[in-house]
Amino acid sequence: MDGTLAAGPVRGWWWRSTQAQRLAVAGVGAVLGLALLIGAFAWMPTSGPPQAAPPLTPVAPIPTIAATSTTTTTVTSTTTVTTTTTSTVDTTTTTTTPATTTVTTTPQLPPPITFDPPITTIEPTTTTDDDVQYGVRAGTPCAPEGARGMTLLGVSVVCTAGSSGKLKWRRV
Amino acid sequence: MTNDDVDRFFTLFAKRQQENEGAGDGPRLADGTSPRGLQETGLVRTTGWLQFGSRPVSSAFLAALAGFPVAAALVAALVTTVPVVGILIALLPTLCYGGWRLLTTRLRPASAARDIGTAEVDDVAEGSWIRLHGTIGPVAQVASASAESGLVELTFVGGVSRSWPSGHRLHLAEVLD
Repeated sequence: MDGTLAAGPVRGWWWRSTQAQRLAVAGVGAVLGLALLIGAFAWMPTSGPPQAAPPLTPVAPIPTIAATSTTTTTVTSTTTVTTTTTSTVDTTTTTTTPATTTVTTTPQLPPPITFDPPITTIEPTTTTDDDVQYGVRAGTPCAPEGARGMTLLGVSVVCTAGSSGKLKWRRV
Repeated sequence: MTNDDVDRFFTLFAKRQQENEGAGDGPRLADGTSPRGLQETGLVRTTGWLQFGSRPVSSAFLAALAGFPVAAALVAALVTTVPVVGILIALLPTLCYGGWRLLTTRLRPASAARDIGTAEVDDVAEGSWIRLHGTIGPVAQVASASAESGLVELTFVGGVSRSWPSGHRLHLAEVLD
């Protein structure tokens, strides 16, 4: 007997099961199979084992790209033509000299990348190395009398007393 | 050779032919052919486990249906690296269908059958096909029945017999090929 008459537990259950039970088993099997298949492909590594991330390094300043570039291309060709006739009189041999061509091109590069400095409020700075105070603002108090100054816009001012007697930066 | 000899020859020939047909080496289909899933014991292996109404669903079709999502998953995962894998959408279900057909026709021949109802074991008539275990699985053709002490013993074509308690319901089947 090959089991057709005396079936084993698994096959016997399958034969005696109702159609709803068989559909449920097939459905669960299909879902599990697809989940395993999708999972296997979803987590499949694309190339090699994962590598550790490199250590963090300070960001270097962005260099300025040179605006011009020169590329030199040299093309060399050599052509040798030999012509031989069967005439008993003359034999002609022609040889051309190599031709050398130099092509120089200057590609158009994009303009260099520039960054505008952030807008900040700069307090007036005073430098007395050359007796000129830089970064002053015209109309503000100053000292001593007769001192020279330079505003942020590059206007020369002098510390003088006005009609009220107060020392203020005034234009020369 | 006389006419009597000729008549005697054809008479013996017809008798032998009738004896051969009547001997019934195994169960026969309605058209006189042997079921594809016929085994040496006289039982018939069947294929198929799904039936909508009176229409059985081919397991080869179910195999092709199962191969389609597998092919779709393979194509979705590999089509970017191996574009030719897209042919699996058509190839894999076809291979599943053909593989199941090859299995059930050549490697392990099995017959298609449909369930046509149930009957108590006491009422099963000779010549009926019944399921041996439940709603699917092997079928056998009843040759004779005998009742004894609450048990009904059915003897199938081929010689195998099995007993059930009186009143037990069996699934009747129709063997299709």
